[in-house]
Amino acid sequence: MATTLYDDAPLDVRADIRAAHAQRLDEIASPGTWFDAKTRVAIAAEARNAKGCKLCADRKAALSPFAVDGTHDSLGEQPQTIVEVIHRIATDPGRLTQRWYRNCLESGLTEEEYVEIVGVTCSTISLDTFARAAGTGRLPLPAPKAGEPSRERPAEAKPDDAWVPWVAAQDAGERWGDQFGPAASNIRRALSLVPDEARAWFDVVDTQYLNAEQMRDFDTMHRAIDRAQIELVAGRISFLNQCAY
Amino acid sequence: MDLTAISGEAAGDGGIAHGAILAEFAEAVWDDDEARLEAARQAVIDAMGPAALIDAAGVAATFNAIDRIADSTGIPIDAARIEPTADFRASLGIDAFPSRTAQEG
Repeated sequence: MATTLYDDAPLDVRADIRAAHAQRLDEIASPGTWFDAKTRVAIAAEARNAKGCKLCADRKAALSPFAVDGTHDSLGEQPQTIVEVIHRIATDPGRLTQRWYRNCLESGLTEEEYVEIVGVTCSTISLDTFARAAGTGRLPLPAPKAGEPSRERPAEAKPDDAWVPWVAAQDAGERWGDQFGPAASNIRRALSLVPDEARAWFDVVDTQYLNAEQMRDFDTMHRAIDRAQIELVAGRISFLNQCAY
Repeated sequence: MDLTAISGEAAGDGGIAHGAILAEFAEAVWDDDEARLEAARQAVIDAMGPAALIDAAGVAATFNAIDRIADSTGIPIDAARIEPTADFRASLGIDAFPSRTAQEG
């Protein structure tokens, strides 16, 4: 995708990263599978807003986040149930629980909506983290496009080993085999209940980190830092996030 | 490679070229201190060049989000990775992370 993103950045940003970020922003501003574009852009904006939320700060400081009640400081465009999902993922992801996830569903969210919120929120966090890390300045969110969500749930998605239903390796079949089949890791099928979000997110991952083929190739230097250096940065970030996966 | 570089316990570079600089960069990205991040960015550029900074930023950006996807969807560790990473996870204390308990609970 031709783009002028990062033209004003102090350093040259790789063309494939520029294209991937332009593509992802365009997707966020387009109708999704379960939300229209206006809601998706509002989710992205709320992900950016989470850092200033007092309730989230108080919960982060507490021994248990579930011991602190209150109302999120939000932009006011989303129901509190959606704000709760966005803010918790943004500010305290390492202490999420399956019970919390179930409470979100009991509060009115569907499983499919939850997964789409995860995809948009985490993509926004990723693009913003890149901007901050590289010193490029955060990209503005685009205006939402008209249109309706597709509302297509893959028939192969079922409850299995994750909290959310997913397309399991043995159920991927011909339609999803390349994306979620036996060769895919669990993280690649985490968002498979909303396949467009899974594909879109991994288009970003494949560019910012390594694609599946590059990950298996330890003999070639695919980036300006070598594989050990890449895994050090990745591992240090995941350790600080206290992510066990 | 000294795997304790991941937990921040390794001395020096942990057997990785410019390991200390990259570990500090990762920590600074994760932290909120803008002055610390600016210094860490410059250290990466001075040691490895601007392309290395962009690529390190891409990796940090990926994992700062992919961790959240794993944690919020409750995916289990892949069966093929459990046994080969068991010692590594135990020695670094990763099995004691709340997200690991949440997966099992």
